[in-house]
Amino acid sequence: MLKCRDIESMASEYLDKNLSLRQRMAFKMHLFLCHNCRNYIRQLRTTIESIRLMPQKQPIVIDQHVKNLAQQLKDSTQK
Amino acid sequence: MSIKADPPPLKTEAELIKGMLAGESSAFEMTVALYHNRMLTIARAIIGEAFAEEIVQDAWLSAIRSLNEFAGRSSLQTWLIQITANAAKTRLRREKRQVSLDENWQQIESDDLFDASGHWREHISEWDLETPEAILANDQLSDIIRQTFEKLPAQQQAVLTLYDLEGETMPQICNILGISASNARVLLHRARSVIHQQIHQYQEND
Ligand SMILES: [Zn+2]
Repeated sequence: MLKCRDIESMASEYLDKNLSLRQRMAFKMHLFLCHNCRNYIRQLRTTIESIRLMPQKQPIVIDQHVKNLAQQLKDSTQK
Repeated sequence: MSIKADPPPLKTEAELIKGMLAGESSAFEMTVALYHNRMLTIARAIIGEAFAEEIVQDAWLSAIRSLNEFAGRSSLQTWLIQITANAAKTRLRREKRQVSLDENWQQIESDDLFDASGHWREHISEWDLETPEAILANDQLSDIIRQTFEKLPAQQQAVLTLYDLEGETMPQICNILGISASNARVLLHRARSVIHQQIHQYQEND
């Protein structure tokens, strides 16, 4: 029988669909019985989705560092 | 001085390459802005902070030199990451002394989370902000996520970037970073857990 501690350590594998059928069954059985772990898995899934959504909300920054390097690269093509 | 504006109409990789071959400054700037940090993340994960900037600098120069031959066999980003990873691994072999990675290791002690019988110490409740959209719409929380991401140990950040942001497969990631599959899996879960912890703390205290 899996413990909550096991659920936590296997959670990414579960969400990435990397568990064997047997492990997956045991995992789901624990979730069925354990309210805390159901909430934890839901939280972790939301966390992963938030991470994946993050770059789309990020502006592209062209600062002096970027400009300097870009200039250096451009110059290197003209030698 | 940094200019933070809405992203300009995104050029496709093909347009960026064409622009660089034509010597357009804006194409170089956009390409560097898009990929430089990703390349640094990869270099740091392989060879550590001390050599990362130098490796990436060299990787850029060699990539631009062979831009003509890059016929779009892969995506531009994949190609740049590959060049960076190869350069870092070559350097790693040449450096005799051990390169230190992940010095600021911050592991969540599982004893803090679970009691002796392996149960959660605390009741895990549902979050108030329960969708990714709601979480990222909260400015404070989205800053917390970004900052936590940037402070992740190099290897964790690299695996998280490649897997969750770039959608690379695990075998590709192991190949790029030169680590085992089980190691990559552990790093991925740690990275996600650190960010989960931060979101959780914010939601609990709010
Ligand atoms: Zn449980």
